[in-house]
Amino acid sequence: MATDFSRRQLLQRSALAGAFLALSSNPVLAQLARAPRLIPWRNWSGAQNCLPLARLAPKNLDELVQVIGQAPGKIRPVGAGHSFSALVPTDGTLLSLSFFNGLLDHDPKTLQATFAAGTPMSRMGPALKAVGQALPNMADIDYQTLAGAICTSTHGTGVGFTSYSGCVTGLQLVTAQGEVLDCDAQQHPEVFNVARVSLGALGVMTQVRSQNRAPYRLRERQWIAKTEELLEDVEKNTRENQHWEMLVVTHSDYALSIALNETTDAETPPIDPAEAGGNEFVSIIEKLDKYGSDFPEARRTLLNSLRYFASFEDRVAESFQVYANVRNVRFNEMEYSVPAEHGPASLREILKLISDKDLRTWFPIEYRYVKADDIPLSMFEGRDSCSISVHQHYTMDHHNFFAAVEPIFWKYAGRPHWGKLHTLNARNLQALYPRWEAFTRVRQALDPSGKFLNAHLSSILGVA
Amino acid sequence: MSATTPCRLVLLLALIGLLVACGDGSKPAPQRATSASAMPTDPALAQVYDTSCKMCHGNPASGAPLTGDGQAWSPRIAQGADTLLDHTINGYNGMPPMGLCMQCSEEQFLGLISFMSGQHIQ
Repeated sequence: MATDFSRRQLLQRSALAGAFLALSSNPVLAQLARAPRLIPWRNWSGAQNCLPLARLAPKNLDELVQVIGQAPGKIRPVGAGHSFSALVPTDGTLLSLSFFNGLLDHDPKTLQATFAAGTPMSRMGPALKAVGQALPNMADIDYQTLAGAICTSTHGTGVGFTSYSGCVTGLQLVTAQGEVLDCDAQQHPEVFNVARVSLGALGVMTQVRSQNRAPYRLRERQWIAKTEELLEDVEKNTRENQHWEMLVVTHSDYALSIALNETTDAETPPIDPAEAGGNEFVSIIEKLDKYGSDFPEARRTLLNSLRYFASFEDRVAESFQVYANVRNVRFNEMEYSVPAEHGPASLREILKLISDKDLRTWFPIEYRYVKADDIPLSMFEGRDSCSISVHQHYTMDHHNFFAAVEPIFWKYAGRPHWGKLHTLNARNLQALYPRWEAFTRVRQALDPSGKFLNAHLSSILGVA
Repeated sequence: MSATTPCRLVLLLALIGLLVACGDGSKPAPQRATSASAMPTDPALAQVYDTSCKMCHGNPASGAPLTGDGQAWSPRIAQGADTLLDHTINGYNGMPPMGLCMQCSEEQFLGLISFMSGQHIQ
């Protein structure tokens, strides 16, 4: 059968044929065609990516020092890749600490323990339990590495609990010059003070010592209530529960309230893994959005009716088993921490905006509280805070949704989570952090050439 | 009566159907042979597996095909090495890009998939 080609199609096919012939006849290009694919790096959600010159995982401190000394360009350390912001991307050297893993030391008297900085948070609970310790609080996921969590001031919830960074009592840092600094309140105190939240911009963290406590069990209680009623009871909920948060179902009037409290009760039977973490309900809400977003009123009615199908049994288990949930649905996230007293007003405005503008989103909003600390670049520096996280499924556009919500956070002097998406730069951020210069002074001294900076860090830290 | 009432009724029925379907799906699946504690014999690959793949492929709650569960791996293996590599490197549904191994080479990824699936992939 004769095939008609347009002039453009003929040109396209000629170009392809030429490329094929070139690859076949040129030994260098042919070799390239057979070479293993170039492997890009992407973060957990897939929204951040880069094609690094090298992806390295030094096996010990000596190798790490050598890599830092010899790497030709920029270096960015990477943990589990769970940061949504562009902290990691580099066209230089991507440095994994996966061989820096495990419990290194512990003190039964002070209940402090030192872990290698690449240890996944999910491995810390059992290791600490074995030596009679436990983390005082944990985030609701534990995929992160210890260094990644510390560098971004990652946190759980509870008005009496700081972020992971607030529990750090010592750390080891390898600087751009290859110097190994052991820092704490006595040794290099100025570096230690700021390195507890460093965005990986001061050097490569290799060890972290934290203040822990004796192991404990938690009772988890969950219930569904009207979001507005939960907001009216915020003071009571946060006062009466050691760890309280809510997951607000957007386009509905309800939220899932979650309270964790220490208990000496016996552990309850393990739950079916398929039902852990509320992923089943996330799936239902996703389907309701897919089929019901053209009928906003009906969708609200249906989402509100979900409460009739929900029943929750209390769960008692070791603390680290209760804090963390499996999240097998990927998403992008923006989170700001506002002064605690502005939390309810901020959330009310966000929910009104989503409803009024019928913004396309279905992921629940996470609403948590974190205690103040004294770390210059911590989101919680100097103020008890309410952290509000908005999410978007990884296959859905997050830009417009986040751009609509972000100004509400600005209105309440919100500070963006360093590991989550935001659009602020050094000029805006400097105004939010009274001790900004304490950090930038140390960074300039430790890394004057900007070896550990990428474009995102240059923008948010104001380094040309 | 509101004009949206018929829609609400239809969607409510859909919701009930959805919930029933989800209820069926959440019934515990028959237990299949897996090797939660298995490790690659190559020590270097074992180290990588322990700090990356195992987090999900050794955890029934993750929804990922479990190490040693030939039945779960079979349809994936049938897609061929290129597709498996692409899903590993770029992510696919719940599978995060790189599978938490930031330094892995193509060869290591294939070795890890071979170990978890119990089938040699190249």
